[in-house]
Amino acid sequence: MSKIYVFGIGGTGSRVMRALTMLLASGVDCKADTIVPIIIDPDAAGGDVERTATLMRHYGEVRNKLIFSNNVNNKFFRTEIKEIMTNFHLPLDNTEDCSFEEYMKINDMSRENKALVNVLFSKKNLNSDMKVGFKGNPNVGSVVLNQFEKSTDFQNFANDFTADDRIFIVSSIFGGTGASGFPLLLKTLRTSTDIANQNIVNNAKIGAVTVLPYFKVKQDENSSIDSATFLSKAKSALAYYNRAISKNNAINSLYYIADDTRSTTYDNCEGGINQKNNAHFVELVSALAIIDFANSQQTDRIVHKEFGIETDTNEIIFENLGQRTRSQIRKAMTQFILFAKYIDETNDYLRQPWTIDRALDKPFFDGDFIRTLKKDILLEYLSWLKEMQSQDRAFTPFEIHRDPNRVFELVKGVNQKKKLIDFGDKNYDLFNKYLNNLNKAIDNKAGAKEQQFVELFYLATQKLVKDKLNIE
Amino acid sequence: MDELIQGIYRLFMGGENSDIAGGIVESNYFFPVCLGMVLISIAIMTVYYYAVNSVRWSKWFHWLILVGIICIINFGIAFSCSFSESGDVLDSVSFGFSNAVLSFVVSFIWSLIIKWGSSACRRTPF
Repeated sequence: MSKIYVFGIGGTGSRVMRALTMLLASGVDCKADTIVPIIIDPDAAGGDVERTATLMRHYGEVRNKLIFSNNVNNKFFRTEIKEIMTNFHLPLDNTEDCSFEEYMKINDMSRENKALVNVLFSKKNLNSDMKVGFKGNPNVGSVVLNQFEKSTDFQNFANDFTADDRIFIVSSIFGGTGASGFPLLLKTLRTSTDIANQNIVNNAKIGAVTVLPYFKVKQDENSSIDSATFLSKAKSALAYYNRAISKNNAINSLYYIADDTRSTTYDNCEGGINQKNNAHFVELVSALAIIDFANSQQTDRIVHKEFGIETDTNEIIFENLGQRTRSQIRKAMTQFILFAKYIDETNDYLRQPWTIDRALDKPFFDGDFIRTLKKDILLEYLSWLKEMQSQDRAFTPFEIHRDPNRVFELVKGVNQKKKLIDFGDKNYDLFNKYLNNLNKAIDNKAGAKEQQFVELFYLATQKLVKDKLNIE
Repeated sequence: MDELIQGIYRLFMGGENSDIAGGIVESNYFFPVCLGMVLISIAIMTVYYYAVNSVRWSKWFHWLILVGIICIINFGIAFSCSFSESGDVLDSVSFGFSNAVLSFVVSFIWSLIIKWGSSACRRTPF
């Protein structure tokens, strides 16, 4: 299969894209060669959008230095994340610096139409500034987002689309942008006639994940967003989706994800740079829906999927996940955290044979590649994990600490294999030993330094998690 | 062969014309002590590079400490052999010193030869 175009709508869409990027960086298997993210959010400067776009750009910078031919073992960054629009963002026209009333050009309407508009939209809706999104008002979003089809970027997407490609849509059901954007986008994709490759796009395999309420926001009288309305909005939207999407077979796979604990509470922020919510397990699971869609055969019959964990707990570790999910992510995520911790916590690698033999010298470690990889990917990965650990419904599979004397006491629920008598190398010395052994085993010292560096770490962490943690 | 070994040892024992090594020559200790020195140096360095092969012990000063231990062992062997035979302290110290210096040389050369096969210590001592 070639590409999956992932439309991430609204703040949740961006956060799920962030989780997907982390999973792909860690090497979770995805049968798609390329992911093409398209973020749809009028709040282009929103914290979540900006953070995700930056992360994906850095992913691309790192990946551009790597090659993935048949004799390469490395799975870190294997799937390409392609930027076909500036900042991965599908721009929406006329949403900046104008109110919804001005966008609708109500003053130019007839008296009858004005009356109809006043029935459908409250005064607050009409006066709302759309720069930061639709503030939980899907009725506003459903009007403004009706412009997809005409945008040049959307036309470019259609032009690029081939018969093997698939489409996935990520949205939340309880906000404004996602709830209104999903059915509109789906309708556009299925029925649009004024686009290139019309037939291919209209009949493409399409999947979507609909994220049901999984957090609350603090009560704020001055804010348009009230989490007390999340459930009722979700119910109405679900009824509509059932009628307009499921019963019409408008989609191939529809994933539902929810967390009825909903104890996570964020600051009430209508949008802008401050809307930067901590990562949540629900977003990770939603990202897994994209990978599941990529890895599954799609039939013409609609498939609905839900996600569940083995044990209901507020502190989820790998053991609480189902067998399939566990084997899908545990090894990759553990390898990547080991990689991140080594780069973050050690500094004596310059005298190791694996660096000297391959001329991985100080200029290399001080260069752009390692700087981007360390600061913008690996440390971000650690932050992302810590954010998930900090939630009330925490995903906390790792003991994230900086103790150099218990490096492999890392995966909760997994005991480190220990010998009765062990005078050998331990902790980061053992890590270096594996790197040195592989350095000797892999004769090929040709190719870019970046390629050699990542290949070595992939193989070393793969062997370490197998030998020390019995994870395969 | 004996003459060659004696010649090498004598370099560190005051030269060809020195009387110091007289007792050792008579007791014919040069060859077995030299053989023991070579075997001990090679064995310990081989164990270090291949059996221990440890990142933790791969720093240059670890190597230097180990070579120092080899030198001390070889000094002790040569000294005790000579002293038990001749009872001459100066003579025995001189012989022990020569054996230690030669064991340093052997260890160093053997390290350079075999270090490339070690994964963790291939860059030790440099």
